[in-house]
Amino acid sequence: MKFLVVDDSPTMRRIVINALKTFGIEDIVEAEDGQDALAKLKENKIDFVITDWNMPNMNGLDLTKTIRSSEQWKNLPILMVTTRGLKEDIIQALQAKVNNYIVKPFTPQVLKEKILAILKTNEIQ
Amino acid sequence: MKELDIKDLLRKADELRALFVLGQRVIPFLEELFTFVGEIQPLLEDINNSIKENLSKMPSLSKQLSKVTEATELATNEILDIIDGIFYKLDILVTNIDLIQNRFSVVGKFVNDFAYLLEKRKDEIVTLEEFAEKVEKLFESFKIEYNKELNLSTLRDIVEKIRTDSTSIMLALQVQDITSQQIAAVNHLLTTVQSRLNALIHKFESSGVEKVVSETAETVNVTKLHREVAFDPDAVEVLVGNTTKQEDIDKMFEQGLPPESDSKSQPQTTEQNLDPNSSEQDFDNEPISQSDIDAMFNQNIPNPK
Repeated sequence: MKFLVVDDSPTMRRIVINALKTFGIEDIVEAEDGQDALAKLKENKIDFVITDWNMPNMNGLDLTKTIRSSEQWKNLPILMVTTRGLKEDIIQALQAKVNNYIVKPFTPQVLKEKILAILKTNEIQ
Repeated sequence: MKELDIKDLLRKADELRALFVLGQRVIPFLEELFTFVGEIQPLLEDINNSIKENLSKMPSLSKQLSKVTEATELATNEILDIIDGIFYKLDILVTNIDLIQNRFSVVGKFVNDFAYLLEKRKDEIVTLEEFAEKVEKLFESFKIEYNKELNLSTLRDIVEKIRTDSTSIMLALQVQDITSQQIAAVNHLLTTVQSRLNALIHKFESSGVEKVVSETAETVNVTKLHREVAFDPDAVEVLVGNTTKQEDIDKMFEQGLPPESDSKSQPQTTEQNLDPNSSEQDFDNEPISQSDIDAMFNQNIPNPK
């Protein structure tokens, strides 16, 4: 499986990628904002997207909406990892059809649980 | 003189007297007013100097805050490099522990078999008995070495604890992202205050303060000093009781999307994302946990098909 990690913070990208590698996931592509993510989606066959919300140029919410509006990527699993923890934020994420949502700071265990839950749901569907 | 002229003169005199009486009353007030103006002048100069000083500090303050972000980011990445090394070394260590444990088992079995052989033959050869006694002592030391398996297990536990510690460090390092967003928000606020203060001071066109503004005002795009940072002004709030919050989010995902939210909520754009006052909009600002989020997502949304 090829993962796309989208975050404007290089530190957070490293943290997420380090966690993914401890799960045995080695095939990982990075993007620094939503626009960069769309370019990486076109260049690679991505199976799973982990994205931040607050990013310049195109934020994670707009990225999710763009992905969902695309026939090619509409079923792509998306996990949002963000500092935004207000109820209104979660509702917006749900409306944008994010598959799951983690509030920073998170443990690698929580990240693993959410990834597995999304993959399991997609497998069932 | 005519009677009318005298009356007019007296009236004028009364008016003049009244004027003098008024003057006597007004003079102290005027003296106080002159004193007040004399005292307020240095005060105004102090305010002027204070404004000048603060305006000159603001761009510097913004740069310093940005440097804090940059330095924190560098330090964090250095720590991450160390963690990478620790994980690599730990993997090698665990592999070697398994090898050592296996070799100890082999040696232990060999020693036990050899001791059993000597025990059976010690009555046959006296010199061998003496030899066996010495060898048994040697075996005892071997057995002690063999029993070090327990210590190796302890060592493995320690290694696992180091791995857990490394994971904890990784968790803690997420603070860098959170604090950088907070600093970016402060930077944005400082810029806003600076521009508003400048606009206010420009209104005093004849005060000479405008000269101060022209000397000190410097436009700094604080969100791009180090790298472009999109920020959540409330980012640092997630550091307080995050575990419970995450649980609430999970519950929200399990419960699903509230029906009324369809018409109430408006999609947030990237532009709003950069507005530090966005949290002041007509939003339901109730913080929720991960379990609440999970509750909502599990029942409602995760079916994009």
